[in-house]
Amino acid sequence: MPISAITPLCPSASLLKLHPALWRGSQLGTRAGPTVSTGFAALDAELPGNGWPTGALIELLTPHSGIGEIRLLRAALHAQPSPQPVVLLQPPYQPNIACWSDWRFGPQRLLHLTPQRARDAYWAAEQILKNGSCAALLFWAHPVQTSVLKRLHLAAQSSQTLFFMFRPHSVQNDASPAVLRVLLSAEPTGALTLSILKRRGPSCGHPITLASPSSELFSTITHDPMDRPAPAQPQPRHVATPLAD
Amino acid sequence: MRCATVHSLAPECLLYPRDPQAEQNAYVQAAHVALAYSPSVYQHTNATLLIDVTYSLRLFGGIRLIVQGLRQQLKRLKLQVQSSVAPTATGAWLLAQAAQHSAQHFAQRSTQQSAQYSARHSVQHSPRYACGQATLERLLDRLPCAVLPSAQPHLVWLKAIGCETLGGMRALPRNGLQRRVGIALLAELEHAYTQTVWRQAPYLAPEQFIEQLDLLDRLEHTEALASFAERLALRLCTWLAAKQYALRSATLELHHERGRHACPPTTLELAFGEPVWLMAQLMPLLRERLSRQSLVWPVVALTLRSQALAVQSTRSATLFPDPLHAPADYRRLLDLLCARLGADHVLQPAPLADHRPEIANNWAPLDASTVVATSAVGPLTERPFWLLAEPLALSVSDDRPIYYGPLQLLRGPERIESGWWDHLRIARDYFVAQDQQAVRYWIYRERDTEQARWFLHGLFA
Repeated sequence: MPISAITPLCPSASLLKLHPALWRGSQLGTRAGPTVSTGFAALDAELPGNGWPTGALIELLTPHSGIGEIRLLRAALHAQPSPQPVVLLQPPYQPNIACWSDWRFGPQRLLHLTPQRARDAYWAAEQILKNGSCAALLFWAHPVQTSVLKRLHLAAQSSQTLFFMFRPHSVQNDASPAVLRVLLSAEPTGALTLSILKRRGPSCGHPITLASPSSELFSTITHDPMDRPAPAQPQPRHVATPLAD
Repeated sequence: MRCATVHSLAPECLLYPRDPQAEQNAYVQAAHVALAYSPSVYQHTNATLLIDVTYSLRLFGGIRLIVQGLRQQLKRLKLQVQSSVAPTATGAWLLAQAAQHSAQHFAQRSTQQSAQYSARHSVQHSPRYACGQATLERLLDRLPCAVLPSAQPHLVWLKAIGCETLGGMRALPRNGLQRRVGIALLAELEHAYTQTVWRQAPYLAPEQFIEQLDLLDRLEHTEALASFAERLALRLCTWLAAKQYALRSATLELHHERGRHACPPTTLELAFGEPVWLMAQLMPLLRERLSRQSLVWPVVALTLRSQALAVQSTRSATLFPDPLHAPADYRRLLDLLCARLGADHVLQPAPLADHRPEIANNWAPLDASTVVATSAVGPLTERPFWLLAEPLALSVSDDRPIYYGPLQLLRGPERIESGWWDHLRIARDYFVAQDQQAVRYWIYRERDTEQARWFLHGLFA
């Protein structure tokens, strides 16, 4: 019996309407839950649901801090309802309030947690996710056991909180329950390159390059970054003062 | 019977001394449970509570649900009750009394509900719900005369004339009965069948909650204490529900050894950013506070006291999560985080109007009194997102700062010179620099020194 006799030739239209969790291997998955736009059209096009998924674990793998990882999230954080706070859990450095205010966020929206033990940090992350009153949780932790990741991923599903975990590049080959894993690396031009390691859909072969977001600082530099010499060190001068007659 | 006699007759008996205070406490707790369903709760003789639920029927969805709810809550407080329902208060009381007599085991308390309905079936021979007048009369008629308190002196005479039940007593000629037994018995009989209004002052819950729990053993671990504290917290929540109050702060006292080696009690302060009245809101914080407390001496008793109270905010249930209620949840979250991590590790921005970056970027421990100033001095140029707690000295090679490789200067200098009035004077030229991996740094050069000294102060994220 020919196969076409059993199954209709073009089942995609009917099958895909069956359930949102059903998608073809060659196409991007659809996400049932709400998503938040990343603010970059090129990146949105590659993500299921056209944005960062809420209520799910998202892993951002960065080589080190300072390559523009927070600026990547700036648009998404702006899209969240304004009075809801953003929690920074165990960040590597002190967040600068001046920069946060400069990005037109209210300072009262920021909460900085510095737990002393790793267990306390995991506990705090779980409580924040279960509570669900925060817009986003940014969590820096290394090393993390897979069981902890699973637990946090489950806790994240109970709320609509954006949950990002920042981990180093070295864990990119480890298994993770995250629904989205993105590898960040910086270009010498200041642009940010993203490789999507894991998503619901086919693997993303090409890296996505996001231009350095326009900002007051970098928009003033029209030329390519050039090496500028350090300014000369002021030297004290010794001028002989003529003695009065 | 003496204790020795009991032991000789039944050696396996466990004897407990009667504790009137504990009985009274249990009675009051049951009254608090009942107060959540109706304001008209009356304490009656023989450890009985009369609850008038006439005006609560519609709110709670009928007598069946009220009785179920009452029984469940009493069970959580580990109280045993005999309950009954009748259109008259005395009738309900008599039905519960009869059930208690017929059930051979001893029940701690009888709860009777006047004015409307139902109860439980554990004793098959005496159903105790009478939702209508006819059922009530049928059930009461079967009860023995002995259940009426005023019938006690006349029991022998009543038995001699063959009148054993209330129904038999009602059938007797009224005038003759009144002449022989007096008016009190007849009035009581009349109340049981017809009087629906109970004229007594209702029970009022106290304005403050203070309750003590004596532990059976000396406890040295806070984990074990948590389960006992939970029992006290349950009573507190019952009281809060009865008074329609919400709790802002409370104290939990841990009493240590008494007598010769007496130690002062340890006091735990529980302060809630958002008033609480449910176990689910109260217990996580209490548990975290207990687990952080280190015990020096073993604990023999716990006392829970309510301190600051507020009125419960009535919130209507919504189908979808309402962002308006998120701030209350957020304050509860902050309470919980502070309880476990310590207030020093939960930081909120408290920016200061100062040009020195490390002073302007002030993070303060979470405190309700700290007001976040939104209008600090705005920087003229972009600032990095990350600041190092301590500026990091950079080595210099070829007149150029080195940080894992030579740094290119992209922009600068921005001169910040301030603080001559205190001891934190700075004179710096700030630059934006970039390394080979395109990480952008905020570095500065000290202007005071003879040699060019470079420091790393921040990272643009």
